[in-house]
Amino acid sequence: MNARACAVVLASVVSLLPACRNRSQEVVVYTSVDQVISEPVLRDFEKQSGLTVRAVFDTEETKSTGVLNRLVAEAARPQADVFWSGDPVRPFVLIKRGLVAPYVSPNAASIPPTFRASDGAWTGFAARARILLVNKNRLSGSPMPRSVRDLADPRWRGSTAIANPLFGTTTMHVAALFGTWGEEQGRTFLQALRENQVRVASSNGEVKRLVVAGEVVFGLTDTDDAQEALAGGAPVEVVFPDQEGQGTLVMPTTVSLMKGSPHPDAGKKLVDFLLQPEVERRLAETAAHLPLRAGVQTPPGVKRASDFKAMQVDYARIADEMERMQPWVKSWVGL
Amino acid sequence: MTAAIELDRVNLALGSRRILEDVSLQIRPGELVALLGPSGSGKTSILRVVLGFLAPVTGVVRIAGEPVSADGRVLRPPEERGLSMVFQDLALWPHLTVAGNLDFGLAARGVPRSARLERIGTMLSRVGLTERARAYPGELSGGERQRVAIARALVLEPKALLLDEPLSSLDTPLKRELMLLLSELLDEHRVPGLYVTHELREAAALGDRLAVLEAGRIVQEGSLESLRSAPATPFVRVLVEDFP
Amino acid sequence: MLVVAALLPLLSLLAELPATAGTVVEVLGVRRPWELLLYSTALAAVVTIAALAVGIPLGLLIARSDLPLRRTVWALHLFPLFLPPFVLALGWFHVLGRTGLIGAESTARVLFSAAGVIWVLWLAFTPVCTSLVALSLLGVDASLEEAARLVASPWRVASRILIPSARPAIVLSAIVVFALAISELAVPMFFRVDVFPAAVFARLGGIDYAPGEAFTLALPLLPLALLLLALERRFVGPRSFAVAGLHGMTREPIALGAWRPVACAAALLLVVLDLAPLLVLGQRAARGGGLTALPRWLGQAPWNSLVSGAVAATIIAALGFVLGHAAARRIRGATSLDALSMLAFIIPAPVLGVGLIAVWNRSWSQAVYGSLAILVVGFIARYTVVALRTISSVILQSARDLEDAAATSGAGAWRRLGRIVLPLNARGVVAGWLLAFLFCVRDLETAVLFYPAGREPLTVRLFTLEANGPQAVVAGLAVAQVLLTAAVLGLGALAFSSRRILR
Repeated sequence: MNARACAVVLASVVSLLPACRNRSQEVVVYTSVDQVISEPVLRDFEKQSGLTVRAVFDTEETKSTGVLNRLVAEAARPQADVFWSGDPVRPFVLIKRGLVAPYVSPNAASIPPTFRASDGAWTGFAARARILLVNKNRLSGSPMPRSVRDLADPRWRGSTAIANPLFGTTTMHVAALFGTWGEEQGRTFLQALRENQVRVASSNGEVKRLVVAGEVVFGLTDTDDAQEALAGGAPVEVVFPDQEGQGTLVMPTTVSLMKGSPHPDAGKKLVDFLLQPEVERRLAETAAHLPLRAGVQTPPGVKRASDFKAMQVDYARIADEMERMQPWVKSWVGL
Repeated sequence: MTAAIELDRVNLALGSRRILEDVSLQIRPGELVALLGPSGSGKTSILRVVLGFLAPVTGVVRIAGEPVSADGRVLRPPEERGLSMVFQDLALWPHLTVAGNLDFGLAARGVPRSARLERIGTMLSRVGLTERARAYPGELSGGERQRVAIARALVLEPKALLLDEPLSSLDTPLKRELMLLLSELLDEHRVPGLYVTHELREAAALGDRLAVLEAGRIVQEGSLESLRSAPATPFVRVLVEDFP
Repeated sequence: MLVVAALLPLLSLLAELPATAGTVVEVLGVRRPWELLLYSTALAAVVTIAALAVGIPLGLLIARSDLPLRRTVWALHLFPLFLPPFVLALGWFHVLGRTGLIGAESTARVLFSAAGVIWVLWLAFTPVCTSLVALSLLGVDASLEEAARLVASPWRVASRILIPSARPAIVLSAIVVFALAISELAVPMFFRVDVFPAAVFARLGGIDYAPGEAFTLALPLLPLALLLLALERRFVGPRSFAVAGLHGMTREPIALGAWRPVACAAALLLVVLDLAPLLVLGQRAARGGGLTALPRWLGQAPWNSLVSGAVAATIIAALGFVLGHAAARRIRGATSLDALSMLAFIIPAPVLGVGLIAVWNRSWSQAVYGSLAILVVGFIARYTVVALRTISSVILQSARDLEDAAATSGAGAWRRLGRIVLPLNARGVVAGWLLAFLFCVRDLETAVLFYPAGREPLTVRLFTLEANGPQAVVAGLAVAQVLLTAAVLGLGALAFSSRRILR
């Protein structure tokens, strides 16, 4: 009886093994772009190419770090072919650890050089910008904030919000500021934010919610969150900060090919697909992502990167800065 | 003559409680020793030591001359000792039929199927339960269950048979009937045995020799007459006094 | 043996420890983690106390009173336990959140705080207390109760005789609820409350990936787990819980008399609280077209949940049977394995996940790692204790003599297990299987870290889509999870009422 039970167990376990799976016809992608946005694009790819896409998505709470950790944890034996990142900085963690395989896609040529690595380690497209979302009603007559420094303006004590700088695009933004202003000024700014009782929300979505509800007057968040607020009919306005100064920070989504992955050719096909202008147009339409290429059609309200002054940054340096400032920011947040 | 079962200065303790103290007992081939004692004297413990469920702290247990427990360790596990036991609550397996109960041990010992069927058939008819072969223990009367327990123990042709107060739950007429059956069977099979009880009547009727266990020690051994004429302790005196 | 699944991940993490030995002081020398640990412990303690406060009287009412529709109340109350608490949190969000049914700014604020976490977890875990207490009371020897009822009023009997007799059940349920509450990750994250497991998770996050640090952070949980184990040994230990049947429920219940309407109202309220979030989820889904869009969004997820759960449950039941028997019969080594499986249950999921990845993501094990099998391995590591405890408590009830008789007859250990112990305790083993299956289907935290790409279980799909998916669809997925669980429970109930197993 024992032997029979063992046989049953073994049989069912074996049935789980992907022995019957056709491994050459699939591609594995890990992405920190919202599932709601990325999944339809990946499905399109499936239809076009005939390959099966197996995806791992991230959650709001663990934005960009859950998937990243998994990629690092699996370094001994990479499982993913492509990493589609929601921001341009996380890929550097992987590049530094030697987990990325450089690949210059033919479709990358039309992307402005600032937004991609020359060796193809990462290529940016469809971006978000870091903007100030302002509640018009609560503003009531005061001048519109124009710069990120306004977050620390005592006039707005207790009425501004940013997302947790340990997660997501906010990490990047703080690092970019540290890089451009210098470390000392950066720290001073964060201290000033503290003194100004800025509300630290758990995510950009939360910041949007706080502004829409009028709990704060304005907050620092992403363009796609802002677009959601606008679409929902909230009394808000979008400000592209520092247009007279350093410019607004642009964060492209990026795509990288992973080294030593199980299906490199299929991976390349996916990268080529994602870098098509058509996908940028699609993402502008469905997710209010700003196309990096000039000449891509966008729906009303969605700008192109060429339409405003973008902050000049070296994304590689931002990655270094993020790592350097990490301990200090951790203590600033309180963990 | 090598003893069938021998306990050689066995000591047993559980925690700080002494259960058995310096117990030495021999059961010679073909004889049935009746072990008498009040509850709590350690009777069941002796059985469990002989069976191999408990290891004596010091002392040696031998079966047919071979040490099976010594130096505080069990050298041979229970399933390899070749003994049989009739448990106090019978311990019939409720999910097996009467035949199944008898078959279990034989199958476990690797007896081929035809031989098993033969032996079961013979034993069941000997105890008068042939028509009940397919019944489950839950469907049997008290006396029938008792007979199954005895049959199950003997069908294995054990080196020795241990009995733990097997008749205690029965009423008097049934007791007498089964005592008769037991003594016949034991004679036929010439199986040496250790019969544990607190009833002098049963002990005197079935045992070739009596041993009295008091507070973990064997205080006297011998025939009923020797116990009567020279009781070693007050307890023994009281014990044999009640017997007419 | 098959203990590989549980042992290896923990061992691999221990191996990383020396490398990060230097950081122990650095990591644990900071105040924050200890603050969080204290906070999490306090939170879990409150949930536990609340669960006991309701569970004990309710268990008593269900087992021994004449409350109408007792069994139905029990079933409805028990149901939410088998859902991922995250689903309940989502439901309450739709009730009390800003855009909820009876929601407003103020209720939302209360919900998105420690109070919300306590509320949801209390509702989710109280059935553990209720059920264990009820089962224990049902198993009480009738004559004990009758002797008391001859001389004392029913309520005196209840408080002086019945409830003290259920002390092992009460202690065990407290331990289980505490363990579940302290390792819960998704609900606090959803309500934006910082708890200790999240801190461990965050240590895995940030720019620097430091699994050794994560494990170091998890170390303080070890003494906690050991303490729970010690409590269990002292108060629960070798006693058993009657899974003998529910006949006791019809056996001359204690009349509620004047208290009846109050008790009925209380029971009704509880049932409403238990079911409200689920119904609201259904309404949200239906209203927003979430149900019609469901097929498009479900994908393979329910299948993944069921298959991985079923296979894992089978292996867990087998392991739980062997280990549970060993534990019940005090076989040497069983205690440490029991402790190990309990530890794997309490340890924060991220730590377990990291260890599993480290061990199983090798070239030789790709067949396992890239497929549903890795989920099975994770489930086995985490939930073996469930079947182990269930089966061990059932075996404790059965007479030891039957096994001894088999041993004397010449049957070796495996034969005894297969021919005697298993048939006699089949119901207990099936119960262990069912319970393990339900826990696997309900699991979120364990799977979310290493689920095979494209093969996520339904809970993970729900969790990842919740971030930004259309609300109606997310609600629809939650409804799917509820229906899935109900189906499994229904089949389980059928299996138990079948005559075959009762024999």
